[in-house]
Amino acid sequence: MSQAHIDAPPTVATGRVRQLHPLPIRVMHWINALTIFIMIGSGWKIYDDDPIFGWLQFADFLTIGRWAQHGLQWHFFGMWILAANGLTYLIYGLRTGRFHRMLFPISLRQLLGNISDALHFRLAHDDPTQYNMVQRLLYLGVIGAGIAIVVSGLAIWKPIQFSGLVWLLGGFQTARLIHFLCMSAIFGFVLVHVTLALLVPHTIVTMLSGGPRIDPARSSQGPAPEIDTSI
Amino acid sequence: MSLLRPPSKSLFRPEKGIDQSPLIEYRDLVEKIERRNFLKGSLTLGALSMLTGCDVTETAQVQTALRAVSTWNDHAQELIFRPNHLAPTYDPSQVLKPPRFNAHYEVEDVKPVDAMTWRLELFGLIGDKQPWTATRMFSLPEQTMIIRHICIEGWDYIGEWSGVNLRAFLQTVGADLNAKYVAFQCADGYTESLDMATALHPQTMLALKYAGEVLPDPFGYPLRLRTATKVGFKNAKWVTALEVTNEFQQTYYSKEGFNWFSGI
Amino acid sequence: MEMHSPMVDRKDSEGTPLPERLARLEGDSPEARMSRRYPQKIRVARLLDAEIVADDRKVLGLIRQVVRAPDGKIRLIVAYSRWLGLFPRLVAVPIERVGSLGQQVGSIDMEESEYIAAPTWVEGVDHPISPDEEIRIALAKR
Repeated sequence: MSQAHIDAPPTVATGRVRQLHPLPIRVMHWINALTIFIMIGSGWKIYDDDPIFGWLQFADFLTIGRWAQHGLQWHFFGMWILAANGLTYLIYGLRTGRFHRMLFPISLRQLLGNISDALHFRLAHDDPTQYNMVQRLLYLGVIGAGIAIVVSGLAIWKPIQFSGLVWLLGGFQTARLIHFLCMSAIFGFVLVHVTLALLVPHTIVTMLSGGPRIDPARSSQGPAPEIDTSI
Repeated sequence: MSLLRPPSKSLFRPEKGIDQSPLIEYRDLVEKIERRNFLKGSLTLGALSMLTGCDVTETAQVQTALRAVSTWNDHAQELIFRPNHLAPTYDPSQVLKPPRFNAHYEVEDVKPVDAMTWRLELFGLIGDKQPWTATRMFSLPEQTMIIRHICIEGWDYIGEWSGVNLRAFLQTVGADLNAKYVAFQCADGYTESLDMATALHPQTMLALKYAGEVLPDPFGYPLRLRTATKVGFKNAKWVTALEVTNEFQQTYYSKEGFNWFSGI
Repeated sequence: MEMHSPMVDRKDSEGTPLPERLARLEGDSPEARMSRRYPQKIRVARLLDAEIVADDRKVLGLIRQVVRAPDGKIRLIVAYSRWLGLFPRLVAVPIERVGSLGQQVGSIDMEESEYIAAPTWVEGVDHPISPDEEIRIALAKR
């Protein structure tokens, strides 16, 4: 056993001991996964009704809804879940310190190192309790895209009631474009996220069962100490 | 409650019987059934399942749930709607001429309205129900606005409409402004309705002109509804009748599953 | 104020003649089809640099000029590009074969294959129409 393990038993931790992915996180994660699936599938159906780019139209089997109004129905249903679940997640992440712990700090030097490792297929994932720089940026990015997609969605849903917001975003069609670009970013994230999760399947198990217990008092900087994952 | 009711004078009473809205979606199938004289007068989902071999019941149940959400969305939108918030207006140089045509059929199928015989008929909670001729409508004070038309599909354009402010018109004919809805019927069978708050909005009008000229046939001649706070399809063209009522009735597109309130 | 039957010129409340309603012709000629699509007046300037699109929404090109042929027929001179706006060449499109879609023009009765096969338009016999002049264009919808 390492010295770190003996010197810092969980029971004298200053914060509450919790799992890597506490139950609220896991519930919100899977709700979000289903909701994003609904929003993108129905969103593509709505897009097809007046494509922003003439050369891009989503095939029927990729969309949710047999006709245009179905896409709208699903979208105007899912948006409430997305917003409520997303807001709850943001509040939870800020108040429990999870964002601070898991997603910061961002180091450019470490990021470049990670990218180099990834390209050489050397990016390790031995310690699931710490995110590497690439992960931190991706998660921060998708959170940002999620906020932006809801804000731009509000603008195009209510361009007159929220006319000030539309003006801030540069006009109605520009707000549509922003909404579309945010979707593209989220879709890109989903592709990377799902691919990596399938490549390291134990991360999926972790998001279902919660993963190892971690001591929140332990610093998230520096190399990860050994952790007894048999708990 | 008496089982006997006097025949309704309103044009807008819904047909009696089961809610046909999920079946509206399967219009083609419904017509096939009718042509084959199958279960005449009593269309059922079971009949459709038998005909197509596929389980449409599940889809109908999903539709029921989604439409319930849509009704909930109507209430949420009513809360968001600000009765005195004006839509942005634009410069005459930005007006699209001619405007973009849209309908639930092709332009070749537009049937021009005969202005000689056209009347705006009035029904419901209205004091003076005398029908209005086009001449009389043109004689009322005219309001002009240059606003953005936004279609549910996602396209938009800037247009200029002139006509009679709807609130002023409702006051002129002694309408009950505390009623819930103003409903419209159109020459091509299209129907629409507004919540009263939107009907009374300063930028809601019965439009007679586009870009300073009398509405051309494809754009609703002689009279169309024009709001600044509703999605495009709510702005009914070729209006022939108006009813002030407390009864909610499904409209052409709400029967197809589009959201009824559809405010922007 | 006089209100005429729809099939003749209508007048507005001041008695000014309304845009005349052209007779809707039977038959399959381009002129007949256009007449059934409620043609509207449009300033030539509106058409210049407008996109002309195929039924599948592909942008075929931009309208560069609007000209009148010696026989009086109006043609849109389109800078047609087969691929991504590259290597455009000028193609004449009869006004009867298009419809206004708002900001865009739909090439509703002329398919892309006809653009590919059409000869390159050259200046000479056709007269450019002034941007301020009004012509008539059919309506269309997606």
